[in-house]
Amino acid sequence: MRSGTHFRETDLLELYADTCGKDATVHPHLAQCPGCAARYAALANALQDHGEQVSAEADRLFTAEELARQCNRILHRLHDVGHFARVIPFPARGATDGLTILGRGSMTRLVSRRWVAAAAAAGLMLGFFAERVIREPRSPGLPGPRVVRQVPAGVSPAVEVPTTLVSYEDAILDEIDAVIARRPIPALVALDDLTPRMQSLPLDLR
Amino acid sequence: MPPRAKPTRSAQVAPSSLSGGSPVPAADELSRVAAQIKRLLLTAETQGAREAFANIVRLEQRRASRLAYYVLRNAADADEAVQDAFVKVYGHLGSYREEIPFEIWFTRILINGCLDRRKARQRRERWTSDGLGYDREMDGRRASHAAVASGPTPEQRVLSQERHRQIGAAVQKLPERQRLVFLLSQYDGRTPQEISVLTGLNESTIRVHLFRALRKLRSSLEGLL
Repeated sequence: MRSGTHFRETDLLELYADTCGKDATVHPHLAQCPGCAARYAALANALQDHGEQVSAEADRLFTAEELARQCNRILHRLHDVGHFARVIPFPARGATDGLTILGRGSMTRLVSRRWVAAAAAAGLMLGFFAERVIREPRSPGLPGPRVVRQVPAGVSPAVEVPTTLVSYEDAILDEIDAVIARRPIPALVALDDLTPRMQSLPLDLR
Repeated sequence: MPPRAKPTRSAQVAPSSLSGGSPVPAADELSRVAAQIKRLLLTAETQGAREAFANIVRLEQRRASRLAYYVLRNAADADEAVQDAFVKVYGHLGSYREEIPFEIWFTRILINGCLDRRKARQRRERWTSDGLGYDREMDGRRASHAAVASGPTPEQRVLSQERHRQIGAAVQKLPERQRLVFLLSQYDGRTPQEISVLTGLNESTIRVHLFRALRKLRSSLEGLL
């Protein structure tokens, strides 16, 4: 541990670190060696001086008035401890943990009612918009709304045919008939000859 | 010259240093008072709990402010750290376990808060200044106090101030754990056993940190320490 008869630098620091500067004088070597005792004392006193100056520095900053202000601020802040801000929770598991104003059961019921009301409102809005979309007039390029042809009472049509489509086909056929009547076209006449007439169809096929 | 008797931590917290003249519990009664506050809080007697806690604040705030200042070296930061620590302790008194000394529990919370603040400040100052976080406002006040201080000759005072400044700067440059151990042992007067409880480090580790801190300080402050 020692170099010759005196403490080395590391021995001195080790001794100080072991005791944190307290009761080091009980070490037998320091009691017998004035040189090492003086070195140790110089180190301990320098550190102690520095510690005292730092403490004095802090005490000059934190005067009695400043500490009284600090105490008041702390006590003022204590009033807010335990009072949590009220937050409307998302209705999931553990969402009501931080709420202390209402009981857990009543809060759950309240949240459930809110969400049922919100769902009903959302359904109403959806229905409204769906109805708007269905009733909305088509743009000019698109065919008009489908209108079902009226059928006589007591007769249920197998297939619904739009009125506009039927009138469109009738117009074409009428036009073809008119053209053929004015100026017979051989190809169309041949086609017309092949087409069965309503009168020639058996009664049960009409 | 023999080493001066090192003041103990309990001697540093003298009743005369307390603000207010009302009787306050002794340091060894803090745990009992804290347990009493816990019972008051559990029975929702918050007014009584706050009044009892005010006594603890008055007893501990000077020591706490010193300790926070040792770590942070900035008066405003230290003040906020002390406030936060007291408020945090009060908020958690409901879960306080009486087998743990209140003073140790509180100091641990305070130190952790100070270290968090110091880290946050270092991150900020990495981009702005020298990073030491030294309280520049303090320089002016310290100089004015030095001018009126009595005792040694002006030359000795100037030399002492200069040595103090250099040691303080060197301590700030120590690694985090070495610095904390050094602060607690040299400024707060803690034993290795107490530092072990406060920091959660092994006692032998505490001694190693303190030894290394001293060796670094001695090598960087040759002739001053």
